[in-house]
Amino acid sequence: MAANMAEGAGTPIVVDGETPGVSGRWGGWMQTIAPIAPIVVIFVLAAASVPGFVSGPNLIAVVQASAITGIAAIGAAAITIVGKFVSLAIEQQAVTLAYVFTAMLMVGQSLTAAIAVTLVAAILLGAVQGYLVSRGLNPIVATLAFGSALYGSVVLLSDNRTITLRQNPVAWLGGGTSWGVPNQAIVFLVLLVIGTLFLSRTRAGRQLVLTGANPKAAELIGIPVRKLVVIAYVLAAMGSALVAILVVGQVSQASSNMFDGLTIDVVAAILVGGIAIQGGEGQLWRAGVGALILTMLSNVMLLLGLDAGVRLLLKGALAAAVLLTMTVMKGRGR
Amino acid sequence: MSVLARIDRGLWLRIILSIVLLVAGSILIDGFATTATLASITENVGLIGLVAAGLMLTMVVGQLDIAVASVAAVSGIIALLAGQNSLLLGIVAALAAAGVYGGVIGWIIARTGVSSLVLTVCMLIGLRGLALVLVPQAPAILSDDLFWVSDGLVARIGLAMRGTRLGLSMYAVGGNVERARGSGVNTTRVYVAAFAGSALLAGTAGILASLRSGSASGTGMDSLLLDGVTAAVVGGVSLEGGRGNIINVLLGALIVRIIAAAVALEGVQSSVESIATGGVLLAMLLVDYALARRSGLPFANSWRVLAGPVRI
Repeated sequence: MAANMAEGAGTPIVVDGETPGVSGRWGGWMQTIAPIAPIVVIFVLAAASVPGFVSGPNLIAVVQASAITGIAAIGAAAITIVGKFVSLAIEQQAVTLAYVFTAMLMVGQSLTAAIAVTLVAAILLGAVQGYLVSRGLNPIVATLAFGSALYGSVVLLSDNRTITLRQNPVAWLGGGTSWGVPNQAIVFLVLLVIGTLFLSRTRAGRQLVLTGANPKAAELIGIPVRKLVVIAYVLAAMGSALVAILVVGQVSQASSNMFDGLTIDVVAAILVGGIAIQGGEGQLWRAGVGALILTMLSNVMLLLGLDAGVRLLLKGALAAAVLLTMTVMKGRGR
Repeated sequence: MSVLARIDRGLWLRIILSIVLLVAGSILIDGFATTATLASITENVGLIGLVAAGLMLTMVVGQLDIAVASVAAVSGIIALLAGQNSLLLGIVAALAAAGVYGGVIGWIIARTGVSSLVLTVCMLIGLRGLALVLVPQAPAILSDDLFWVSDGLVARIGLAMRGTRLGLSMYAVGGNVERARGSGVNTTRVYVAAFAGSALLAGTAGILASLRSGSASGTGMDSLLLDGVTAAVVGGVSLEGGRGNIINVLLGALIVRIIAAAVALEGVQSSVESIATGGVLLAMLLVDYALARRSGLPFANSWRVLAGPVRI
């Protein structure tokens, strides 16, 4: 990866929402391929060395496991692309929305009403965070504080109980399969396509990318920068809402620790996928790829009998490695 | 520019606020004015003050170290592991590890220009994993006088920030990196010192906390980050860089702990506490914003590192 990207040294970085400027067709092509390479490498190594990796159930488990992180990461990637790094309140808002969704079903509302209320709640949560950050509050510190207050409120209101659904109308979505593929994975892939099209084909999507690339220029040419920041946070919250609905469908309950570690997984997926943290390079699919790489790694390590700590350690190391590689490349490119 | 940090009366404001809160708590809340509550407040102020002082170092130079809680956890665990035969050895080993780690991080940030937020988030993830890997078994007991060591450490850093060339360089770098570099400040050294200091202080907090409880876990100290940031912000450290001093940070920690202890007595311990801390932090950010806007300062531009796009 290092050698490929170094070819681009000396060329200016073009921000157009597509591949940043690496000289020649080769460089650009290699850079597009680079994030996928680890997947292939890990897959081949795992298939060769780990018994049971290529079995059907295990592969389905991998895709399903990356779907949850991936969907949340696709939403959160909007925040990254608009230039605000990431929300540290992702798992807290997902827990909140899971409780909202389950509670609505518990009190006998229809599925449509429950989903509608969950989405409205998501928009609200996203809008509040987006508003705070769009005013210039530090995105990390503000979402850290918001997440803490939100989580505390939810635990308090729910009395820290687990709500279990007797009848689960979304079980088919969260746990079912269509043609042998888990529905969660289908949602994940569909979302990836929609998100990519949104960023590259729609006006709002392109404005989002430009805002991340150069907020001052965006403001000067009349793009509603603050509004776009709010929209990005709302999109992230919608991703969390979807995750909440899917997981509730899968496990038929909401509990305060159901999404432990989700924020970290999402951040790691975004970093490992290599979405430029400076924003403005809207390659949304990288978030999905990042989620896949991480889940595959975790899965391999799990099959190899490594414990949670080692897996987390490796996630962090991988994220740092990708981040530093990208930073050094960019520095040279200038 | 952070207006709260600029108000010279800030120190008195915080002292008065602490006293008012203490008095109000004692009058209004049953069980507040007991030795147990006060002892817990004092002890927690010590821990959070250490973390907040470390965060202050990185905030003053215009960066932010998100990994403090993980550093604290790992340091605590190293101290317990290496300190099974000799407590002193464990503490020295843990502090050495934290110091070297912080120095390396600072050096990387200075050399590559990578965003400290993003890099330290990676470290947060990785170190939390490391903490889970290392989880210790053997309990250890803390002798009480070690808490005085921590107070001495914080006081020394406070003096060094104002009285040494390096300390003053930190403020200069936080105020304006280019100007500081132009006037001959070695910015690499400043960043290394800030991050090594932050890791050392967080590590000290982690060691004290884990020696006190005789155990440490990978995620048990997560709340230190939120508490530390809140204490620092309430203590008037500006996220923009270049402002903040140690006495105000300690008062900030005191105020945060008094509020947390007061609410905790009223309801479910952890959830109410996190509402209170998160709420206080948000409120402070908003007050800062409102004050800055009223005085006509271009607020959004002033949050140098953090308001704009987070640059790699």
